Amino acid sequence: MPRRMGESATGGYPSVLSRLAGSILCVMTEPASLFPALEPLLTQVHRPIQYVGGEPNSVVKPWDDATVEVRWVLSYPDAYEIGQPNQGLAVLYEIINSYEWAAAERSYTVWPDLAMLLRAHAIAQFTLESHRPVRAFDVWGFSLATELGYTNVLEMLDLAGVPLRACDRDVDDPIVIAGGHCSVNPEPMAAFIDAFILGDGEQAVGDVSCLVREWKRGGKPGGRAGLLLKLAKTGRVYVPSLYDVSYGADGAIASLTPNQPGVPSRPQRWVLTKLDTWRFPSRPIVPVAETVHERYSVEVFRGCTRGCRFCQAGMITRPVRERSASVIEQLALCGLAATGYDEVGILSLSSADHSQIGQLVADMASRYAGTSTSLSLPSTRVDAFNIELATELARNGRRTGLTFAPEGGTERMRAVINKNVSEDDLSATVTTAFSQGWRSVKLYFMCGLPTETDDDVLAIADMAHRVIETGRQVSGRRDIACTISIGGFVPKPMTSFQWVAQADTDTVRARMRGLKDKVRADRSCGRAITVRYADAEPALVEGLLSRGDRLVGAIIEAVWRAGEVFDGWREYFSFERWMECAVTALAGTGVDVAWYTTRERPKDEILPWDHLEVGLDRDWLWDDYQDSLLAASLPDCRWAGCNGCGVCPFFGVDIELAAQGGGQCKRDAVGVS
Amino acid sequence: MSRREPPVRRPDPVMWVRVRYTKTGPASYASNRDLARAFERMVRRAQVPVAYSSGFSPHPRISHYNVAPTGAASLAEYLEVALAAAPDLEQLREALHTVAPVGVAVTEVVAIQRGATAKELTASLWRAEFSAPIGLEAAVQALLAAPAATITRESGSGIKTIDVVPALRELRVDGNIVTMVVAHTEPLVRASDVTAALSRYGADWSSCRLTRLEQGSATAF
Ligand code: SF4
Repeated sequence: MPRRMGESATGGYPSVLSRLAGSILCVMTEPASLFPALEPLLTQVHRPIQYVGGEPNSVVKPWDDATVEVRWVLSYPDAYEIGQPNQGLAVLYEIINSYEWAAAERSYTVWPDLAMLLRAHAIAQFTLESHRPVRAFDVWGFSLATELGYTNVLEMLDLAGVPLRACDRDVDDPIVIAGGHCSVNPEPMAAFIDAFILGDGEQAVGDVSCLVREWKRGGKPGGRAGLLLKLAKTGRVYVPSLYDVSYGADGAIASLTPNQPGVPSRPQRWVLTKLDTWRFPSRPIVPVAETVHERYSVEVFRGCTRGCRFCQAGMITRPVRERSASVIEQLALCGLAATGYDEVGILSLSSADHSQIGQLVADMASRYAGTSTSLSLPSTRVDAFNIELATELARNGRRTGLTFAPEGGTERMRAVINKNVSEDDLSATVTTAFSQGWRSVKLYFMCGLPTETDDDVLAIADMAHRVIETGRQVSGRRDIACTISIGGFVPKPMTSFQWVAQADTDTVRARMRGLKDKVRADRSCGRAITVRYADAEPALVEGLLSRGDRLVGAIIEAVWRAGEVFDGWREYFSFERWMECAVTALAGTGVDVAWYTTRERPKDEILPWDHLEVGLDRDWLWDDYQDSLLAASLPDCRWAGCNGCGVCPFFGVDIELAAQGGGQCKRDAVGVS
Repeated sequence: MSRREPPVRRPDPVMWVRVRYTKTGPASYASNRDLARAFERMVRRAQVPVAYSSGFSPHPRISHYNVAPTGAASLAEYLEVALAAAPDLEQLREALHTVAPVGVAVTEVVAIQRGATAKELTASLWRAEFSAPIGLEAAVQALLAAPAATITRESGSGIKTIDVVPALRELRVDGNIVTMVVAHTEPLVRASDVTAALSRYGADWSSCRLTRLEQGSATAF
């Protein structure tokens, strides 16, 4: 087993400090830049540009500037190319740096080639702005967007010389805070993260910064524990160490309760309203290194109430809150001027649903017609309106491919997941697309959905067949193509499917293989259809991590100790390692991987995230799950009235549609309290 | 095909300029692709009246020449830009310089004939700074005396074998610093190929920093 360097609480970090302090700085308490030590290593690693910073619009506040009282590091636990385009962190970076008394720098996961050299040369995890060691900062914020980034969090903590476990840290270590969608079930990472923030971060980073400043000014009363207690008492920060868990004989949680007076039993999510009034990155960093999204993105709304039962992102961000079209256009204008990008991404969970989208897209398409600027709009809708938009967007570009997400192969399957698209809708949509000059469509599906049978998945091949036939007929051409993209379904916390059994990897693999075979056997259209599928094994690990409890933390640590990082990357992911480590880490607990993943939970089992308040009514989720088994549909509360999920009354907020001047009171209109 | 519009045909450029810039510090680690992207964005941010290519996805017409490799610094990089208008060139230089990433300094913008850059820049003056070199003097003498010196280098299409001698116009050593003039031959010999050849002749060091000091004709340095 490869041994990691710097595993102990002290790590390699102090030696770096003393070495640099001795040679360069003489007597100074502040750490020096690690860049001089790092630079000779950069010619030995792949794409060194990702480690140097200096990008246009990055913010460097001088290290000796005494007005800066609170220093943050913002991290996305993946490589720069994935992490840098993250919109959530860009917003927080802008907000924190807008305070004169606070600063935010960035740090991403270094690839194993550099990690090895950093350990060999005792150089600590550094930031991109000042190349200061992360351990020298006050707060270290992680955005957790995918569970497969968890081992990278551990890797970064270790490289930073910050003790892996929250309980081993002292007053000089940064407070490690995590947010992002994964934090709605923080339990698997509870041992490693000091505090979690659920929901929108804009206001949260401000409040946390204020508390940290106050605590530092007061001479850090109560030490680290003092600050954490203060954060927890706000009721909107979850500090796992202030809650005790006990387990029943069946392995499930018996109780999860605060262990100190004054700590709220149900920490709440942050819900931002009136998005127009909040800061949005107007001058985002322009990477020099290549990244996955090279464009200026504007978030047009937050939340989604389409009610897809598998969709965690939609459920935990309710209700819908829109930015107005005029603000969006202004942001795009400024953003392009400040970045020099040639593409605007109109982003949200389903941008085509924005109440002013038709006008917005028409206006923007006219504005940028004849220029080199293009527009893109990811959308999950499967209807003719979607194509209208796409055609408008592609006004002065090539009509290459259109993307739809029917998610399920049969009408029954789609009713179960509440993706209410009929066979007729689909065929009408495809007909419109091909008659307007599009040549290829990409269809997204999931495999392993609740109640799914082999036939539901095989039906995807029939759908693709019809797409090709329709395309050939309508366009009179043979060069029509269809790509089927299919991934394994992972049941997620805080959704209607939080109780369901995840399909085992054999089932998922067999169904995907069956689909592939059926497409291949299609003599007339098979060659025009490409099937792309995601591996079943990472989805099972994702399932283990997303619905796990604190015991799962031991598996994560064991896997990382065994040398695994970058689990989101096929070439690094090792299913065998995860399964081996799970056996060892769970020995004697009475539970195993199957218990966490492929087991259906009874209604009254305490789920590891039940003590966290995102506003969703647990009974409503259960009823919606029962409805799904009857293939009963649930309409969108934006257009059909409130269906009582609980979020709006709990937080005292409302759906905010731009077309109706922001906050409108749909909920009151139908008399739900 | 009902509402599909044909791609826009763009007007011809009214003039060409040559931009000289440095890549030092963090920017030394940019690859030629990184720099190409960075300049496209700089040109837009600085609102340079750049000429665009025709077609469905128009690009600013910028031609990069012989970009110093990833990891090497340079005080003399050049590119050509086609302009759709004739702006004040000093203002243009200033505007580009202001929006550049750290380590990129735009030092000169002059009007030129299209394609003049490749004709005029036929060789580079390089400085190689070695740390803790052993046998550097002897290796330089040996390489100067050699009729041919081949090295191998990994390229996209496999292993390439290159003789550095035909391109080597000058080679001097002073302590741990080697200066060399390398002609822009075909196939291209890189400064790092020359340092690789030096190690084949027994030079031994822990790291080497390359800086391109100048480009021009081999006799001008
Ligand atoms: S409370 Fe009602 S209106 Fe608000 S998000 Fe839930 S269903 Fe929609």
